[in-house]
Amino acid sequence: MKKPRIYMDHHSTTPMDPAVLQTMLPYFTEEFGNAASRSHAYGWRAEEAVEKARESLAGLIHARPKELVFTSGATESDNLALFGAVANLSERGRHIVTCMTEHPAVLDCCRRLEKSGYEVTYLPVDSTGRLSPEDVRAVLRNDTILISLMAANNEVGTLHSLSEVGKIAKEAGVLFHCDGSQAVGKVPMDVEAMGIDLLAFTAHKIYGPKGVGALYVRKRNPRVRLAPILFGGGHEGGMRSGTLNVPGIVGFGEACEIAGRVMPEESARLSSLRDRLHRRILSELKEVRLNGHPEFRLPHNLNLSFAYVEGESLMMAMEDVAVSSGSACTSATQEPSHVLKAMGVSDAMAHTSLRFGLGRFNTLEEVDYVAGRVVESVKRLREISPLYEMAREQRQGAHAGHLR
Amino acid sequence: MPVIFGELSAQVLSRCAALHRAGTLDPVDPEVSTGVAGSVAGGEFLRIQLRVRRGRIQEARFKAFGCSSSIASASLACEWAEGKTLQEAESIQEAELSAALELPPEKRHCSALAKAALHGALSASQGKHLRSG
Repeated sequence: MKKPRIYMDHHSTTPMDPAVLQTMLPYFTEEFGNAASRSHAYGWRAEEAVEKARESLAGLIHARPKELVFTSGATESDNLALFGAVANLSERGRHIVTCMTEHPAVLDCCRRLEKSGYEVTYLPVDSTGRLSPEDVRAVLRNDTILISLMAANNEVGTLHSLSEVGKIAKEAGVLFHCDGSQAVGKVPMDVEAMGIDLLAFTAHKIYGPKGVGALYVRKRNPRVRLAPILFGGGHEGGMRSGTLNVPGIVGFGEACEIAGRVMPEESARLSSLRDRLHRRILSELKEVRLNGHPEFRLPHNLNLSFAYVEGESLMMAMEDVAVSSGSACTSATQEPSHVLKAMGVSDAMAHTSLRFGLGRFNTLEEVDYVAGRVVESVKRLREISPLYEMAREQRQGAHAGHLR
Repeated sequence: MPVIFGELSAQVLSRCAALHRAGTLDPVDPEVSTGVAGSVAGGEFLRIQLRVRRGRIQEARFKAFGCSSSIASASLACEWAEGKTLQEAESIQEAELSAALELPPEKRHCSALAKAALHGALSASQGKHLRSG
């Protein structure tokens, strides 16, 4: 298949910033030391580079460097947070609170924990994908030990009220884990102000390398204790054994430095491009619905349902543009997105959804090109859609009836 | 995001680019019969219409709400049906459609859907023929 010309799927992953790559390169060759080697300069220099990166990560989320544990990515960080936290708290209780629209990295952990005797409450969201913090308060019990809520949804970009949930968690003395994969580096995150005890994030969503992530683990008020899920050497304060991925960590650090520096300007630029894309599509097409919160949304996210047109066929019709869809069409599953379903979007409309994720290297020209491709492709596919024809006939019938 | 699909074959892509035999035949026309298959909630809904004169398919047209493989399957089913007698067209099977379009196993239900819509239209036409005969 032809490689798409325009990449607009930045929720999935991002291209690495060339500046990030430059900082990483020496650590593959001349600076190849093991950060755990204490007996020579190779090891010391690697360790120094890791600690410098740790400071960069900490700066981006207003944490202290010692509160960061490097992992292989956000999925591992979520696993460590959930399994690691509950293992030490099972004496106190076995109830966990999370949300129906979480990423599988959290939901699958919760399902696994249910099999081991934990009880999980999956809170609903409103039609914009937002969870009500009061719902969190309402389901807390004496045996609740953990709240797990994402900062921003990966499909519709909706931002949750983290500070309010953090406050409720603090009042109840319950740990608050946040999956920050989509939000860290894109919108301001502050573990102190938001009352977050555990925060998972990853380098490849912020123009860094794949295969490296981190978990913030609060050290004070309260000191969070995690049981490790990997054993063998006691690296990272015993919380995550395994030789550190030094080049990846260096790249992660640089990606965080850049993200922190460019965030205000970049988010303003991307949200303006995103709104332009949305406006251009709406000016040419009817019956297009926004999935997600109109205001509390990631600056680079646009998730739209195009009535009467199935998402996969739309993506294939504009094969030079890389986006994603909430539709699914395999014999294994015809269930569309669990996120849209939780938001009350009908299966029929969920099958017509497309997710645009804009990024650092997208240009105005690309946005205009994509808008044109979307409009042209939707019009073309609506012409062959039996549903569009039926709706048009119904409208004409209603109109004719009205005239009589 | 739940979308799972591998690389699509050149046949599927070129059919979706060309959309051969997409369209509508006048359902009021006594020579026209219609078959549908699938469900909107399931993300796939196909309609195939046939114009049949003296037991032979003169024209076949489809409309599709569904993935590229369903669009391509409906388009190819219509192409194969044209010029055939009702009986001959009944022999069009999903396996042949899948093979011609190089559909992977997880997409075979798309050709099954096209076959179901075609067979629906064939039965409707036979019904009309019996009534008028």
